[in-house]
Amino acid sequence: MLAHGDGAQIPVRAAVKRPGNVVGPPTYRAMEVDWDDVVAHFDERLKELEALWR
Amino acid sequence: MKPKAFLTLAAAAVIALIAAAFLWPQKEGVTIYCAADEGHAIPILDAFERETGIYVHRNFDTEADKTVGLVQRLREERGNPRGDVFWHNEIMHTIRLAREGVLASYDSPQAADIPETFRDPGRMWTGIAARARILIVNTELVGEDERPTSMNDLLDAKWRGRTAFVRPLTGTTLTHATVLYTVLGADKARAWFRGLRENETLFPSGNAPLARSVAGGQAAFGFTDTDDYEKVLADGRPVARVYPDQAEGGVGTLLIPNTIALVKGGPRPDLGKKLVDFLVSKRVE
Repeated sequence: MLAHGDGAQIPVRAAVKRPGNVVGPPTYRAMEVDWDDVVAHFDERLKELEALWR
Repeated sequence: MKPKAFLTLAAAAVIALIAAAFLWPQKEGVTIYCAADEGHAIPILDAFERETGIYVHRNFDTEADKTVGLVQRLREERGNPRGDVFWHNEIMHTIRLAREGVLASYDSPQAADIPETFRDPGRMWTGIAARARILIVNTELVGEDERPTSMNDLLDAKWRGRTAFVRPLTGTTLTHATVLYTVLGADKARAWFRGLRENETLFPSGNAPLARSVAGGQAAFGFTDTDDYEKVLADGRPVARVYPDQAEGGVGTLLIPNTIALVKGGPRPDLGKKLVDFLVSKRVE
C-alpha cells in the first residue's frame, strides 16, 4: 500500500511487488549504516551542524 | 427571548458540550501515535479497523512539530503512557526512544521476512517502507551526459551556486547529515559540509521546497526524498531521479525506513500487538 500513490515508499522486502516508478534494492546499492553509532553521537553532531548553519 | 437570556443559554450549551467531550467514556480501542503523513496512514488504519473491528485512536504530528512532537510526548508520558503503538516516518528518533526505555520489545511474526538490517536486534522496532535520499535533477538544465552520479558532484565548481541541500537541522536531511559522519568519518563529513558552503550551494528549508526549486530551475540538482521527487514528477515537471554513489567504492544510496514500535506500558498491549502485526505486514508495504 505504501509503495503506491504519491508516497512512493520503497518496500524493504525485495519480494514485494511495486509499481514501475518505485525502484530500490536490490536494483541499486543501499548505503550500509551503523545506526547505533549514528544515534550514539547524534547530539554532538547536531550541535556541530547547528553551529555550521546558524 | 431576550438577548441576555439567549447568550446565557448558549454559553451553558457550549460548557455542557465541552464537559461531555471530556467525561464521555472513550471508545475502546488501540491508540497510535503516528508521525507518518496522514494521507498515507489513514487508509491503512481504516483498513485495520474494517478487518479487525478494533477502533484506532489516532494522534498525528502537526506540520509544525513534524517528526518530533510525538517523540517528545512519548518521552513525557513515559511514566503513564497513553499510546500503544508508535509509527514514525524515519528511524533516528525511534532508536533514541528505544534506548531511553520508552518502547517495548515485540517480535511480530508478520515481520519474519523483513531483512535484519531493518529490524532492531532486540525487536524494539521494525522498519518498513523506506524513502531513499536521491538526487533530483532538472532535465532542462542538466543534459543526460552531465547528470550527477555522486554526492561529491555538489562540490563540483562547474555547478557553483546551482546545487541544493536542505539545511541539515531537521527531518531526513538531519538524519542524512548525521549518517555521513558515521559512513564517511567525521573529518570527511565536515569537509563535505564545508565544500557545500564554498560551492555556494543553496539551502532550502525542506525537501519539498528543494524539489520545487529544482523543478522550477532555481537549482540544477540537489538531494531530496523519493516521495518529494514523486510529487513534482506527478505535476509534469522536467525532473529526473539519480540514485547516487553506485560506483564501485561509493557509499551507496541512503534508505530511511518508516519504523513501527510497541509503546512500553501502553494501556492495551494486546491490541497494540495486533496493530503492529498489521502495520509490518507485507500487504502494507
